[in-house]
Amino acid sequence: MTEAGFITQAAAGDADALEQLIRTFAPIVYAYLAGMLGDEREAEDAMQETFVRVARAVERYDAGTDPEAWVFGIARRVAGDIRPTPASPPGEVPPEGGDTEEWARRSLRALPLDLREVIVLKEILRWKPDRIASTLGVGESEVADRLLEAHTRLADGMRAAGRDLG
Amino acid sequence: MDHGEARRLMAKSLETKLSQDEERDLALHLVGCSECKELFAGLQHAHPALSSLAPGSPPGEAIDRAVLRSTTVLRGEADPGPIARQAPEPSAPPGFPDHYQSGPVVIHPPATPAEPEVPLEEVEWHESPGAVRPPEADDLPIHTTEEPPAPVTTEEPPAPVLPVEAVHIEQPPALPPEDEPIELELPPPPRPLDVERRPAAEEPPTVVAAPRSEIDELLEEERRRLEPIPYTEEELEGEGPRPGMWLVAIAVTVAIAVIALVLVTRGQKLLGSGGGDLPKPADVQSRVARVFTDMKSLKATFSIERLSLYRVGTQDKAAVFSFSNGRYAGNIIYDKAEGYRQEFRLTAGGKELSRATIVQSSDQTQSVIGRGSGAAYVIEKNPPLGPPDGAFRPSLGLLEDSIGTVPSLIASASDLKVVGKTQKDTRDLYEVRFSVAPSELSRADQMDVFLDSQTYLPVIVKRSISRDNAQVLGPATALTSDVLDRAFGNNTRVTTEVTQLSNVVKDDIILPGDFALNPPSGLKPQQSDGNFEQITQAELSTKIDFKPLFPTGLPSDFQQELLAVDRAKPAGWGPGNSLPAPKNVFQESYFNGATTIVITEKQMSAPFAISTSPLQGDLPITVRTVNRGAQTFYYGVSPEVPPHAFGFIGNTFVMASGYAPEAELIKALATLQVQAVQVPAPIDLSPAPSTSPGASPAATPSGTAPSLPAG
Repeated sequence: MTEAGFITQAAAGDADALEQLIRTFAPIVYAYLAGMLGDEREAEDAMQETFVRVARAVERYDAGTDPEAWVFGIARRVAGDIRPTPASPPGEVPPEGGDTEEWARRSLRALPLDLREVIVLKEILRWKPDRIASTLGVGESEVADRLLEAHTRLADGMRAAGRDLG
Repeated sequence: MDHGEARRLMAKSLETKLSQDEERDLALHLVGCSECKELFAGLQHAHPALSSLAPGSPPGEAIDRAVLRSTTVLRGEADPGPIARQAPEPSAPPGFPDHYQSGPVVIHPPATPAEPEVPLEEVEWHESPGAVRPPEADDLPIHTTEEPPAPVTTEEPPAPVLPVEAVHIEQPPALPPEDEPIELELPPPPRPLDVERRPAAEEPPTVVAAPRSEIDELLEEERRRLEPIPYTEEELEGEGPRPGMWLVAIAVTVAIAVIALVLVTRGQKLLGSGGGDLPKPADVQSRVARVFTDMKSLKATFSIERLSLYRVGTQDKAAVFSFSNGRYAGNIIYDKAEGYRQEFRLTAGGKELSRATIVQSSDQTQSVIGRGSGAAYVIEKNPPLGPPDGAFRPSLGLLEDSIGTVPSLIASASDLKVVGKTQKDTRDLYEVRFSVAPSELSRADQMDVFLDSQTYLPVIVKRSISRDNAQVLGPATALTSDVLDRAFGNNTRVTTEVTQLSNVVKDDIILPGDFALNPPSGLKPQQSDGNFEQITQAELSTKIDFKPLFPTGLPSDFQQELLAVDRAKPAGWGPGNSLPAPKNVFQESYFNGATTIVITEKQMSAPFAISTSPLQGDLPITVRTVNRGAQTFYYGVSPEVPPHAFGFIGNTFVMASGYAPEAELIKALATLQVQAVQVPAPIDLSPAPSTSPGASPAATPSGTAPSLPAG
């Protein structure tokens, strides 16, 4: 059964189809939410919320829509509704022991939503610019601008930290 | 080149290699611009750091929770709300075995039926009522496969570390008071409880105090209930000691007693104190014994991780089992009056072994087994209440085995200790630890149970066992020493089971829609009729033409639930229908809120030799002989079937099955007696009737002389 078929069957009340849909898209939804929220536990909760909304929305699914884009759109709205755990702004708290991953997570969480999102899609999900543009509903140049702005802010933070993280 | 263009090239350099011209231009800019140079250095460090953030796959348990909640919503049921992750537990249990899969354990089917029929005329039988034929020497060995299990291979990788989880319990909407003295209508205390008086230093730092608002609410509730005793003018104007003064004195005395009782029973909640006011073991035993008896309904999400033998397939017509950590994950809605709805999925070794949604009521069982197009939708009407004529129907579903066994194990614990108190979410849990006799029922020699501090419902149950006692985990022919050695590795003790309840709502109202099965669309039901007609006590004398037996030795908390008689044409039964057809079959079920016991009686023409379990399937059933006075019974247990005791009383084959201790099942059989049925007295038209119209015709007068069935 196709992913669209899972949604259609779920709309008919088939819980197994919904489960298949969830298991199919859980990895990408989780990866996106973990990147956006910067916390794996919050990402698990948000993933749960995403699929609850999917369950509520299956009846409104348009059969011509790309299933992944449809589910991902719901995940994006969930991410937008959740305020990430407050984090220190980039560079304010230098990483301990050169822990660049922790610094990056903290810095990413402090970015505005639109900038954070392009970084997540580009650097974590490894999407190509055209796919990012399509998902966000903007042009590729806008994606490039946002990426530049996001990278600049992150690099500024790193510079302000005054630490050599290499 | 300006700063903007330089930054564009910097960003581009992160994605692709710049052209030579671009590289040159950027380098020239960076030489003259220290700000951009620092920025570029930052970018080059930030980029790989961001790439390292890519998370792994979501935890399977997190996906399970998402599936559970989403499918609940899909069915149109109320959103249970976020299903909480289960966090680290307060004390580390021993781990499950490192080698969590034994590899295949092949059980070859018996070449012949487990118990060949013995011609009735060859049976030697004592004529005295109640006597049971002593077992012949040939009867005693356990009948199992002749072939030894296939060599065990352990090619599977070591077990991943099992998620160590804690429990999230939602606040029940309306918890009934648990025998608390605050229900008494008593005068008010002379002054309100001053919770501020307690020195903060006395409060152990590890215990989270109840929120101030909650304290206030509780106190206010108490004040509202305890209205002052009104004085009357007559009382005030009387001579001598004024009654009002006495009332005040009594009120003050009683109020102090009430305060003391409130502090004892609810002190932790009121004062936020902890470690020093743990309940006494005897109190724990008393409360746990009542929690299930009093329970009217339960909603919960559960997980049961159990080290056991699991059927993983077949090989050359032989069943293949694996000694593994299996995990049941699901949820249950239970209503004492209506039945339950339970859905679960069983996985072991990363493979789904089974899944089912079951809706069980008193008169039918509906189930969807499997998934997708391969699912089976079965409706069985008038099912047998239990073995040997049908599947065991526990009232609490899977929880009976894992949680329902806890009260009796706690009650019999001689070394029970309340080792601490912890808080999960908004609920306090008491941790109790005790030793248990290793058995197939306990699957442990030590247990740690976390009890909800308000309801005393066990919400985490951990079982562990030492290598020396591990043989109780399965039949010896399947669970060889080699298999156990591999499972234990270098460990002397392993966890054998961890059961956890979360999202617990106790004694809430269960709506009819909560029991909807919702089979997959297009799936046609396979309908069957078990032909077991349910009857009432009052119908015993009119609907059946024999005298059934009733247990007189069950613990007092067991209540009779159902009586049923088989209306089908008598037929052979047992493995391969090799046992002779009975004349009548009668079943009765009893339930104490946690454990179901089903008693089956088959009236035979004459007794026959049956020392091996009639439930014999692929996995050998361990059978022990138990003598009770002049009577001999047999007790059988296996990971595949519930514990069961069986034997003969007169010509009646009797079997008691349920997740109850061996002694309890044996006693249920050994105390079976014909129940005297009161014949309603003739209508007495005299002014003073001598019989109570409300008297139950089924009441059993104590001291009724037992008589045995005619057979």
